Amino acid sequence: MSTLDGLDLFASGPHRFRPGSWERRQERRGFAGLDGEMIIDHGQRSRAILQQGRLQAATAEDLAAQIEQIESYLDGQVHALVDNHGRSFECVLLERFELTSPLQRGRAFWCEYSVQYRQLP
Amino acid sequence: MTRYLAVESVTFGQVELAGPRSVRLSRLATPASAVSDHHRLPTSVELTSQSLVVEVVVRDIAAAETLPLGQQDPLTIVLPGDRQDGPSRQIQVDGAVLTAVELSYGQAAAAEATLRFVAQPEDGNIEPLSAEDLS
Repeated sequence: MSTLDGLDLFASGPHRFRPGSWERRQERRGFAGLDGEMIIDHGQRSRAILQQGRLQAATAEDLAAQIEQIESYLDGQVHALVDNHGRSFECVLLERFELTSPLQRGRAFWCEYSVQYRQLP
Repeated sequence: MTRYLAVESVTFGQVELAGPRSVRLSRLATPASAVSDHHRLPTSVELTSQSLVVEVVVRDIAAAETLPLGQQDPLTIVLPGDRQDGPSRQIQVDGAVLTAVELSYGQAAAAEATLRFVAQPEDGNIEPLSAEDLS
């Protein structure tokens, strides 16, 4: 079970996480006549964490409520994310949340979504 | 076990599709399964589209030769019971759209027509298929 600030926001449907690599900001310089290059390390920056999944609800209103609750975390604040395997990611911003399919009616109401987080060091 | 002796009649709107040989109704859906990264098997199987498809095979091809594709009408099928006192079964498909007609003229064999319909009810949330026993 995954959580964001201890809340199981995505429990209604299956979802998966893909943490990206930490990124470092570097400046590379070369000099004429000299082998090699000089690298100025500006330090560690951030990394993206991607989540894709499906939300499900018995009614369209319930599904909309789930979406609104997730969107309320697009607040510019850092949060604590725990993925399905129990791995913790601290200092995580929710950068983007979007539906990648229409709201559909099958066995229940459902839609696909993707989330992008950004973790700060 | 419910058995029926034959297909008694098939009517598409006002047109009787005479000499019915067989009727097949298929409920179809496209499954969309999804799984979390800590599960092995799908924990969600949803349906992206559902449809009711009817295939009717008739020996009397005259009507089938002239029916235009795209015609939409109720399709009514009557099946007699297998006992004298057994009730007939009437099946109705609302808003059946004729989507295919295949005519087969075999050598020294009875000609045959296969008609395919897809139900398009007025309201996409209303079941297009209804069935009842006729007393």
